[in-house]
Amino acid sequence: MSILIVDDLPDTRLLLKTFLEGDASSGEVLTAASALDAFQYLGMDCPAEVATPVDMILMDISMPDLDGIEACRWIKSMNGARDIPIIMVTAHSEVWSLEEAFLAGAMDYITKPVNKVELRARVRSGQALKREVDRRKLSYINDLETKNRELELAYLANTQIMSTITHELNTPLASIIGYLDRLIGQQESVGPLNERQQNYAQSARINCSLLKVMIDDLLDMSRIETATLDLTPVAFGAGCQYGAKRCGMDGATTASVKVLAQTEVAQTRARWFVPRSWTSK
Amino acid sequence: MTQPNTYVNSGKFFVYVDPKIEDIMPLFLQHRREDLESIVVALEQADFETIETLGHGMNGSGGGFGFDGITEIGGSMEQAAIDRDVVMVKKQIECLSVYLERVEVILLRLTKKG
Repeated sequence: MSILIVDDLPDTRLLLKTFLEGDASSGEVLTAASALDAFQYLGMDCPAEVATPVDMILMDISMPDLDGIEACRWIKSMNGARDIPIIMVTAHSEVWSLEEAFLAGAMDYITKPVNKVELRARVRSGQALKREVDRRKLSYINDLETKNRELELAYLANTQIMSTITHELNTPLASIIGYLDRLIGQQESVGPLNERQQNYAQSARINCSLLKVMIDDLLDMSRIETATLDLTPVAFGAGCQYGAKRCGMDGATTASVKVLAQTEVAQTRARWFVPRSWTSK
Repeated sequence: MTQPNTYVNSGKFFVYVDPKIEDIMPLFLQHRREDLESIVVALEQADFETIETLGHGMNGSGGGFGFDGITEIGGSMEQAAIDRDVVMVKKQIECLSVYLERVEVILLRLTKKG
């Protein structure tokens, strides 16, 4: 673990560093003469740079330019640094400011002049807290990654099942449509139909067509989700006839697109992604 | 507030310090002598802000090195500067000067019994 001491007085930095370096559990001890120098360690001025890993901060309150409380507030607002425990180091005359320091995110404080035993005890507490926070964060991240993987697998399985089902439905449906076409269009070979039979056959043919369109759409959706279908962006506005003509969609699909344009898109122009196979018609 | 007689009228006095800071303690005392000179100059210029800052620093650091007297004098100096009390600042200057002149440092070394 590493500890960063932030104090504008060189003697205080030296004293704290000496006390902490004598304690085996302290790890590396870094020093900064100002809050701005501390920010450089934490990578707050150059996020792209590799920041020095800091596990705990001992922050003096009274410093020129930026005081310790404001620095604490800044550090606690940074994504990569907000979990670092900060212990304020304060003179007796500044104890009144501790409430503000705790509101800024400080976890503890030590009064000056610093007592070595107290300093080490407070630092060990802070380090124990940091280790526990890190352990819980890692556990939480691992749980999330596991759940994400499970969800991805479940989603993939679901998509594959949908694809299989719709594909399996298409085959007998095509056969039904074929037989209905033969029944309606080839009466000289299968025999004439009376008017009622004609109506029923045509009604069945239309409904089968609608069902086929829905199954084709489901198949396209599963191909889109598995990235096996290329998409071409097509712009269309509230006047969706343009969109329908470009897509070459049949009457049923045109109707559904028209409803979409009027209710969901309203007055704005929308980009409707359609499968490439539609635009080739 | 530190009374000038505490140090002015005393002889040598001893301060026991942690051996771990043996190497950095002389530097600390040197810095306090430099602070003393800075305070004298600041007082001539009525720069109470500098005196307050230096007093605050001594107040916070002295005891950590084992020099409780410097903490005490520093606190008094800081308050005197806040109050713009020239007389008290001068008295604290005298205290600090005497303290730095007469302090004797003894390193505490722990020994096992038996």
